[in-house]
Amino acid sequence: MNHVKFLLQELKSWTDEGILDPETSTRIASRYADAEMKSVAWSRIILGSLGALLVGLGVIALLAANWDDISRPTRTALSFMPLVLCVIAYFMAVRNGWSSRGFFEPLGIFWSLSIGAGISLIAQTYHISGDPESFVLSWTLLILPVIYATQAVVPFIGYFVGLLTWASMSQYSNGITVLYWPLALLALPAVMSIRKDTHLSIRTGLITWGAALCSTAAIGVTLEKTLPGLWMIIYSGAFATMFLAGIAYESKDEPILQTPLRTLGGCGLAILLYLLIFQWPWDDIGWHYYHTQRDYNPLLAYFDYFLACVLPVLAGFMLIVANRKVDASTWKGLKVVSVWTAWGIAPVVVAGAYSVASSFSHEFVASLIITIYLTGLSICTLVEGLMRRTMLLVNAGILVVISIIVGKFFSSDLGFTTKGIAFIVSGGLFFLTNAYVGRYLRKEEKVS
Amino acid sequence: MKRKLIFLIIALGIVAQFGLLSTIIIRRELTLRSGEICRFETAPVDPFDAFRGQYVQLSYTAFSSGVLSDRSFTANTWCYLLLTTDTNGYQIVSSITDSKPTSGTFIRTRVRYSYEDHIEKPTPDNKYHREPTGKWKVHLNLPFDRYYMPEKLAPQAETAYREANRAARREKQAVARVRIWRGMVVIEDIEIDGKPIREVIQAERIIKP
Repeated sequence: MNHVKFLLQELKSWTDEGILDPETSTRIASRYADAEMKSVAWSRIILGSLGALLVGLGVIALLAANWDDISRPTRTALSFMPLVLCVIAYFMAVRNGWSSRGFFEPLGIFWSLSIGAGISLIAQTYHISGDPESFVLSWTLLILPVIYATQAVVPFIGYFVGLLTWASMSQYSNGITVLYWPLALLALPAVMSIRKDTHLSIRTGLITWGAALCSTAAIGVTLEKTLPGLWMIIYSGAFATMFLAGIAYESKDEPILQTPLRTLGGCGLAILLYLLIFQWPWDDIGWHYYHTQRDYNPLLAYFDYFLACVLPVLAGFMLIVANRKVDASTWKGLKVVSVWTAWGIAPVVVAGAYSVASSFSHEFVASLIITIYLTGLSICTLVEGLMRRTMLLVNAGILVVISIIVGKFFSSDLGFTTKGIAFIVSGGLFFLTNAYVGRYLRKEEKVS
Repeated sequence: MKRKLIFLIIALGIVAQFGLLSTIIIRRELTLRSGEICRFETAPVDPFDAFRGQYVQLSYTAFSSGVLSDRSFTANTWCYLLLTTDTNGYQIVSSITDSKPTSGTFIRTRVRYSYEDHIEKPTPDNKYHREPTGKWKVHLNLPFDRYYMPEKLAPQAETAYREANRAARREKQAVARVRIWRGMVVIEDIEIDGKPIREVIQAERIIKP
């Protein structure tokens, strides 16, 4: 039973019991009845979408099976047919004022598929060789109007996945992969519009997760990588920006699905910093190892430099925004710096360590800086978790500390027996701390 | 106002969807109707590479070992191949250029890669050394290297095509009949000994049911 149905049932019993007067009850009921009318169960949307997918694939398979028996003009007309049907359905929906997601989600899938099918069928009819790169790009770009028209989840995610696929292929054949970014920006107004209309819905969460994950991967794909190691500053800047934007604009009480920026940014920062506690990422980086081979385009490398400058600055800007939007943490009445501020300055620390490693070839010092910083962050996270009585933060802090210990032990020259004992002790400590803190928090709750 | 703008963007997008597909079709239809008929002799292909899905992978003797040029070409750039007819009536490349020719039959295609051509010359101690010829070999991404066929016919077509191209026998001649119009190429058919490949397959089916 959904929340609105439950509320409407409760309203009836409250009115019968005299808790609410009939007039107020009617006013509340009319307010939520409207929402009930507009909402469609996700099961209906998923089933409808699956149906659209199967019908779409079935139509394509049927056409393909009988392709040789059909004349060229008929084949050409049939290639257009699914697309024409989708456009007619869309204009009918607009004309009749339909707004159900149960209609637009499957339409979005079927429409997107019919574009790909149309291109493929025409290519078969005229024996067009066409490289996979241009096929993926054409299909992806033609999905863009579908995104704006239907605002459906699958075409949205498909658009970003398509762009990422094209960028990966293009990188392999030395193409201009940085075009990913202006093309991705074309979908941004639609993303903003959906976030504004249906703030914190599952749909918004899925779309933002898809866009954020693809764009995170796209950073790695689109970098020219002429200057070894610059990715560290770029990725730390990107993750810090995402994390701080999540802190500023996403509610901390929402589940992970609806806080993609905060979750992806935070996890990304933790994983990146964890990798940098080892020495191997710091080997052979900086201008001394600048790539001059033919495969590297020095002009496209300016995009890498641009990101390395802009993303840390953007993270700094988001740090200010987040500090203005979110109330400062207090401890015994005193204002303290929030732990996310400490995580947010990661690009500055990484840039410092990078300059040490690249200028003086002190890989050990660079990894030590990050180890100290990450250990400090994990302890701060643990402390903040205890202060705010949040088990998630406590566990995150402990997990990072133990990962550092385990990682450092693994990369050391100690024997397997010593390493094994260290792992068992670390795991035991994790369980003990967890149990102790859990009991402590429950006791605190009882007292309060 | 905002709603109207979004609707306009969607309408333009739909026009683009139909526009792109229509452009692909119209250009090919014009080529098939007004283009000059050309024949390219096909070359053998690696049998394991011959099929990727439901098409026959085609290779041509005129291009398979690269096209000779006076200069190098950058990979992925567009180029134009001016064609001429050899003594057997098949099309071959007379020259390669990066600017569009004003006359003659030509194909617009992309460069895959190019390298300096060398020749091996014997040395007095019975060995060979490589010397540059002053020319460049340009390998191309041809826009007509696939011939799509239905699933059932494809394996037989592949066999017929391979048989015809078997280097040792060369009893039959496999030829791609194409139409060329303003640099665009569209395959009309594959012919084996002057007969369309579908007819050859049908005849073989009757002989070997």
